[in-house]
Amino acid sequence: MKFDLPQYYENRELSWLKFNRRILNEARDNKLPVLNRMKFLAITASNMDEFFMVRVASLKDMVNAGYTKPDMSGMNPKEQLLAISKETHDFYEKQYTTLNRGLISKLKNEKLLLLDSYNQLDEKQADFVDRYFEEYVYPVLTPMAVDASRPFPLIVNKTLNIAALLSNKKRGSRLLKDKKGESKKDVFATVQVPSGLPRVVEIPNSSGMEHTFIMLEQIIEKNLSVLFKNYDVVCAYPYRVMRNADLPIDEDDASDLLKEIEKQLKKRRWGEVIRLEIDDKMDSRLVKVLQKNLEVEKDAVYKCNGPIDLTFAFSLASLEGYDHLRVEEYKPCDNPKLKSGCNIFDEIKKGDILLHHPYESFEPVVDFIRQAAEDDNVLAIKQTLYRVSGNSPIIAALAKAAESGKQVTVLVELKARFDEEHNIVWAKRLEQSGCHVIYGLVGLKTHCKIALVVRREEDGIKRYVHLGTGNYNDSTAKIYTDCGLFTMSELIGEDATAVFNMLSGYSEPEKWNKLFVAPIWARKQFYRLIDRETQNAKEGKTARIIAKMNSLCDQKLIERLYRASASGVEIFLIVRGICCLKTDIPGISDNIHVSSIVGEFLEHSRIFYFYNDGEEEVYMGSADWMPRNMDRRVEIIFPVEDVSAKAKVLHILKVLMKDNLKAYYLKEDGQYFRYDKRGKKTLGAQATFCDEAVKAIPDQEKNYTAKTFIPIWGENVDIPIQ
Amino acid sequence: MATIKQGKNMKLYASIHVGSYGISMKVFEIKRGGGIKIIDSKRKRIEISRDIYESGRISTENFFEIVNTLRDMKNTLVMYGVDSYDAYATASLEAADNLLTLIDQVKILDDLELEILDYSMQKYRLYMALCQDERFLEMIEDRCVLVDIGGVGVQLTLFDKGKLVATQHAKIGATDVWEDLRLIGQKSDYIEVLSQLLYKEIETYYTMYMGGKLPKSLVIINNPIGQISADNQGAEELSNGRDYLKRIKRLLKNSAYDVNGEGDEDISVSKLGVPFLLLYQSIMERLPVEEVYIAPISMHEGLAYNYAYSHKLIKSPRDFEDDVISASWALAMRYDGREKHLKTLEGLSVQLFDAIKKRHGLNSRARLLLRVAAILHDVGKYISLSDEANCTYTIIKSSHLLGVSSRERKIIAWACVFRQEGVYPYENVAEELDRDDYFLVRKLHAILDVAGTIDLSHRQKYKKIGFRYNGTDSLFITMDTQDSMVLESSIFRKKSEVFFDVFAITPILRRKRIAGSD
Repeated sequence: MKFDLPQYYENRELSWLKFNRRILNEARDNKLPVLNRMKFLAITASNMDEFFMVRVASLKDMVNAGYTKPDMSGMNPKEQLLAISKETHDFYEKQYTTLNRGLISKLKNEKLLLLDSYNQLDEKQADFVDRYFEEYVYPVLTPMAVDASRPFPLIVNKTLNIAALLSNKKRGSRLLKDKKGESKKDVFATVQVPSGLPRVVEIPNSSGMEHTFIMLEQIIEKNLSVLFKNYDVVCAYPYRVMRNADLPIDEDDASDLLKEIEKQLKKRRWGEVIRLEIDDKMDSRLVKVLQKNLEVEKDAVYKCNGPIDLTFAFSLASLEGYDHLRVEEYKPCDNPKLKSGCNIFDEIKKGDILLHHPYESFEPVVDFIRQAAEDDNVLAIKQTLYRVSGNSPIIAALAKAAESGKQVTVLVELKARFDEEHNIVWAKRLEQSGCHVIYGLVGLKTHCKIALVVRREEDGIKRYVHLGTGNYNDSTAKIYTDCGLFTMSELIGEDATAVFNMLSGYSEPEKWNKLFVAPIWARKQFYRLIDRETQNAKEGKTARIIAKMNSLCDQKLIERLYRASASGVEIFLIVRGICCLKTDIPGISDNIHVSSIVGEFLEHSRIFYFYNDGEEEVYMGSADWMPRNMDRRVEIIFPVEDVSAKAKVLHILKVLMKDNLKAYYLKEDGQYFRYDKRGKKTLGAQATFCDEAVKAIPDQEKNYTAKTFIPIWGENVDIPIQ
Repeated sequence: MATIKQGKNMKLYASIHVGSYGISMKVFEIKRGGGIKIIDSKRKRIEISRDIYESGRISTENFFEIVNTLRDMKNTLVMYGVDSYDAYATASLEAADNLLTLIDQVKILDDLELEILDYSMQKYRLYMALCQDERFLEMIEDRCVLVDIGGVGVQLTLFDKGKLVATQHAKIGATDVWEDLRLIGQKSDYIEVLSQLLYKEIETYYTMYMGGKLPKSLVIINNPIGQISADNQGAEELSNGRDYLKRIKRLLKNSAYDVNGEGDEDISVSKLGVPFLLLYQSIMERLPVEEVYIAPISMHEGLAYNYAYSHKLIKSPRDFEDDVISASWALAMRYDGREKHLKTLEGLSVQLFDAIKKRHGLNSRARLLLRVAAILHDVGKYISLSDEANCTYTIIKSSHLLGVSSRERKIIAWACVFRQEGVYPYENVAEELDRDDYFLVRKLHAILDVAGTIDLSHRQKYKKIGFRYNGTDSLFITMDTQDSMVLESSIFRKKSEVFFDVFAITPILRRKRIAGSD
């Protein structure tokens, strides 16, 4: 039987667009508080930006290079671009309908008004706006007109701009010549909306409102005549360009990787324009000028029925004083095994500790490094850093450890997309404090999340390891669902040492005790585990695979899953984003179920379960089932073997599979649907985990609300014998 | 927080080894009476032997790669706060013109003392580690050959009934084969041609040293497949001889594809692996065995065990001196040694050594060298009676005795030469021996000479013999004999002067009077 036919696979870009639709659905969900819905809308916009910069740009590159090889779903790059264009145009429409028909009026009901246009300003507000312009905006504006002596300026990637037509009787732009070559009357001008000023500006209230806002570009448009005093402004509309940001870094030629990336960052602004967003009412003459000078095809022009760049909605979503319009903020709880102030090494000694973020606090992970930095018996700290938060406490702790003479080795992945600049800063800071910094590996991105503390103890050298599914980022750990494991298993400790030796170029591991390491080994191990289930199913034994990940688009692994399904293995996949696997193909994937959870927290953990004829095996790690994770990144998949940790992971999977509130299910037609919940008891996995984490804390540690107090009597107190 | 001190019963030891194909390091935790645990291990591939083969020196690029790698490894040692470490360069690197410069620069730039480890001692260390392996000890109870293929040679060591029988080093290392490959590698049947050539070399060993008797098993150290192919996960340590040969052949076949990048990704072989495979193939074809055991040890374990034994942290399961003595006997017997006389001489020498313990200042290692010298003192007679000294010297120097370094072999050889030809002035041997070693040779020779004189006739004339040192300047040697001792006594006077020159003790030969005799 053939499992690799194109019709068995979904195109990865279209699958991603479906994921973004699921997020947009959250913005359209009436049951959610309006500010949360605003946040989801902003997320869709920011996601879309990245999608264009990375994926669309890469497809454009392929088309430009004449590459025509079809992907696993049988679509060549050109066909993919066409399909993407159709879908994204439709998506834009839906985004703005959501904003205009739903959210803005919902906000208004809550006495929060976002004015569409400066025409809606009353006199008082107009005065305020003009004054605001004069004081804050005007000084930072650089208007640029285009004519024979002034060529079309560089429009910087992702910036918002205003294009204007100015009436001009004497001079005319070379860009606006008629067929006879004579200047037209109108002049083209453009001005960048300053990114340093707030995009949404609060103005004096309209009647009956608590807060009234207007967009910064509206303030500029209103005062455009101030910028071009000798002209009449015929019309003015905002626009925004998106450029190719998918920069290949030729690592083999770069003698100094750091310098190479710095150089590439400077180049980024010069990339090809792949998307032009314009106000849907923009004058056709302006559209033409922009299209021609930015060399944009018609398909790449996106008309926006509202403010361009919906990421502005983030600022409204976080409006102070309106917590009642948001889902109550969840405060991560302590893991019952790791009370604040405890010695983390003593606790790990008692047994493996599994952390489930953000339900459980990320603080122990920071403490792990912090305590290691202050512990005289710690000899070395080694850690990989992919994306760290601004002002990261982990970086501070690492620097402190190095300054106090410990050997600190940090692998800072410079190639973490869009974080390069940020990472260079931290890497340099760490180096200055005496850390041994490795700036990634040639040809591979180091994506694994591992921290190793080597400690001298009475009975020898001990290794404490933290392995995670998410980045060492204390900020995102509050909103991403991830798992982390603290262990002092000797076998994992040996592997961890080998990983760091491998990363520093001083080892060719001969064997791994416990870890699956990508590239090279992880793929083979996954094949082995899937094939084992297939074999068990063929032998009539119960066979089951549960896998949770962010994306599934590795054809070879999908093929193996199809093969397993065809042999009778029951497969349940919880895939948040891209899923190129199709369900319900008769004889191929009848036994595969796919769900996708889109909720308040970003599902980020990767968990893999194999029934193994009753000897259940559970793994977690940093890798998705994507070719890049399996073949082009250093990833670590680790087993969870400790009985209580394993039980906890199994419980997590069980709850995730039961979700009928926030989970979507993939249908045979490739669409995702949510179960009809009418008359059914609903269960949301994320809400369940929040409740459970709160319940797990012993009562006396919760915020005190009880009105009866419980005294502690002498007979219950252990008095140490001197 | 108080710093935890490691208990006295635990030591951290590290070893660094600069080999022909790269640098490696291991950090060990050694518990008194317990086992040895590896807590860190690093390895960096640097093809030093290729440099040496091509230009006779370590290339500038690799030179600094070595310096940098060693610096990193030194930092690791410092990080762990090891109690002791050894850093050795393999002896084959001595062929590089700039090795001494490297050692000097490593000292200056890395603050690391890099020493050259003698080839025999290298093997001996490996053997020490191997002796901790129960399976190995079990296998050598039967006829078993220990195989070690390095860059510059192959060492084959035969064991029988638990005893070490013979060690031989053939100068056909992987680097030589690699060079041959370069010369004939374009021929379609190059593997076959080379195999035949290597087969002949092994054939010689088989005929000369194994007495035509095949071994039952092979023990391989420095796992070849693990090092040269990507397929090093889950390799069986013990396999059937035939299966192992098949596997080697399969890998060799794959190596041909490797050039085109079409090899099976699971078992692709690096180019440098081919010579190893060819050598193993030849050995296994000539010495077909039932079992092949790939011992999971390296030079590092050997160094760690040596440290553990010498610091009395772990008791050695085997008497390594016994191995040296048994290999010396095997060598003496190959050259028709007269066992009775040799045994007498060995016994007398040891008795003499022990009698003047307070005065000679020598350690137990010197005692072992003395025994070996006694056993091998006249092996050259087998070749030539007229040039015995020279032949003895050559045989001892060129025979590999597992557990005896080449420096020690030199000491033994010179002690035997002095025994034949009298003491040479230092100037005549200064090229081979430093002053300390020269004096050690003289001490061994003085003891050997006196002992030899007692059994000058090779007839073991005495029934009993006693040695008594008076604590000042005389050593009384009392013989219980009825035979005439005229010959011995006359020579003895001369020999006692040599002895006095070295120890400032005069040996006095006395005959125990027996009632009724003259």
